[in-house]
Amino acid sequence: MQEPHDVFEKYSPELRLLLALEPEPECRGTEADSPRTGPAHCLSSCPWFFLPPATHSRRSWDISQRVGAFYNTLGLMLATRAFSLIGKRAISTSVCVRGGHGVAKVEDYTLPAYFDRRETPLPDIAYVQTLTPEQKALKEKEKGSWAALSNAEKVALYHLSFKQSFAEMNQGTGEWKSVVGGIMFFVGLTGLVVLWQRKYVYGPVPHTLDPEYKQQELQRMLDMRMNPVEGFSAKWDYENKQWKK
Amino acid sequence: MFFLNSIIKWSPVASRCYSHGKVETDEEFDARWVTYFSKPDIDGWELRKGMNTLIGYDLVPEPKVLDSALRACRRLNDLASAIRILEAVKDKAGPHKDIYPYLIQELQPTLAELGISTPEELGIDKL
Repeated sequence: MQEPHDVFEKYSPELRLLLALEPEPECRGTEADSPRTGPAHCLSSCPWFFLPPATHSRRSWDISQRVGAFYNTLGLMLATRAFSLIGKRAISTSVCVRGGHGVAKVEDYTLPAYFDRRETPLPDIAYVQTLTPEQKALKEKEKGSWAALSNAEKVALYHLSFKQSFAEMNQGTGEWKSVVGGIMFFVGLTGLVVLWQRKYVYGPVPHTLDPEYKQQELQRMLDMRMNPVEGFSAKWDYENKQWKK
Repeated sequence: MFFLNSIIKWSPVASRCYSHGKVETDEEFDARWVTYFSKPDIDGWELRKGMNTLIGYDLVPEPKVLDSALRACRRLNDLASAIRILEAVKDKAGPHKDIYPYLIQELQPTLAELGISTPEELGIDKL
């Protein structure tokens, strides 16, 4: 596999500076009276959104640095061109934060994190990052023959790199019992609320549900021969005045 | 019902319907991965990347691929990763409980040579 920097050997010195292939000169806090389209060279203090997202690849990092410098130059050229249309104004020649602010603080959440996952058995970082002297000594011993390590030492080494074993990470929590229990509890509580409602909240039912009224309704349905073929009245025996057996 | 049997063709389970392009054989796949892990100056990142990618596939790696990976761990002086790899392939086999014992049986010479204990020997396969 060819090293990536071979491609850039052919570039002119100006282009190499532009693409941040040369060591960066010191960032200066200059405010220009007129737009200046010089090369951009404040890659390290550039806001993160001008650089492409970090890939967890050591090789592609220097390429992405160069790409980032290119984007920076592009943005700068577009910005200065836009300003030159409006008029000559004092603008900062680089969109980077300058004048003593320095490099942005590295946030914890941007660094690789440790995860115990079935699908990624080897996480990005070891679990224990800062080693005590005993642990360092054990790491030194690991460089020798592994057969010389006792089982306890092997387990200790394992737990330096990993938090939970596969057995521990895969174990169930029993949370489902809480969930089912909670469901049953709340359904029961709702049932009690409904019973209370029926007794204390709802008024009487309409008179049309009284037994006498229902009997009269039934007689009316039979009298008008509702569904006489296969349905309601078909089941009534009109001669004997009873339901058909 | 009877004539349906002649109409429906049961294709072999392992075939895929690519419209073009060469299909990599199992041997080529294994050889590629053995070569990957056999790199003499492999670094930690490459080992992790390779292993995580391999576990992402819908297969349990062959013993020779695992052998190559374990030797890579040895070059990197990383016993913990070696044990983790064994745990991972056992987990990868899932309900097929006979795969892992077969792998350990095939890897026994390597495990003995490098001094790698299996998770069972260390007791970390249980809670």
